[in-house]
Amino acid sequence: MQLTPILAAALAAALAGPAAAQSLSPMHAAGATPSDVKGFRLTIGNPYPGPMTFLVLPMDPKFRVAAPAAEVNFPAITLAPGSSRQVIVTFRIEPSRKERTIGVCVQPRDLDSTVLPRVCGTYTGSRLGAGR
Amino acid sequence: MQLAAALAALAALAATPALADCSVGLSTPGVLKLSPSDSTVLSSQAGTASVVVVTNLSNLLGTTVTLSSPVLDTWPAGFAAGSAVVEERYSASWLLGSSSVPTYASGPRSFAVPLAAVVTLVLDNRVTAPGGFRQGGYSTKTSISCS
Repeated sequence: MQLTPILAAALAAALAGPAAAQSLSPMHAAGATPSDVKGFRLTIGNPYPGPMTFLVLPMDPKFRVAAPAAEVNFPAITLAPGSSRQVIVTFRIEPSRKERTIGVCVQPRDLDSTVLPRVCGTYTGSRLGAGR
Repeated sequence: MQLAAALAALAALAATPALADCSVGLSTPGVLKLSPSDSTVLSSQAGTASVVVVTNLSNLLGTTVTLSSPVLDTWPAGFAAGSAVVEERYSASWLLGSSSVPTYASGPRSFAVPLAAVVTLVLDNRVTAPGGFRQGGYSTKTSISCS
């Protein structure tokens, strides 16, 4: 009895076709670096109808505040419907630390709405040769 | 052999970028309306809630959807925004699962979503101002994150 409304809700959701959305891939990654800078290549996608401009924001791992010493090569990107694009996020790992984790959030730039949809991931870079 | 094949398939699955994905889409923007019975309350509960669709293909362990504390985003000049209390409640459902908090609250909430789930999230906001509302436009903002 309960399955019917759930299925109906899922079907309605699938058919609703969000007016604004974004995707981020991968959402978690880790890797080593021989220097004090680590970079990750991320794919930002716009899987829904309509072109959109997204902000790609380096954040703290809890996605609350901007991360210092972190950059994105394209901090704002406009994507055609159904298209995706790769960006590179780089951040510095201080010499005193063996690793650092940052968050990255993708959100629409100009969305006048009650809801700000975000997709966020975490990325960890570790220094090669750093002792534990 | 079967185990090796399964491990290879799992490794390929994990390495496929297209499957490591999560999207958050706004399907219906919400609208705040003045309560017919209480002039100090604006809410979206009268069928004007925001509807958000979260599609999770992120990883085998699922993902987390986080609703931030709602804030008052716009208000007319002269309105004492600092005295207003902004709250939210939500109801989320997906195939064979659901999560909801039926009572209004100001703090952030989160819930886990399994792999390959299409989640319909209905979000109601409520603004309470003891001194009532001046004429004009009001809007709230809630960040919904898939992580």
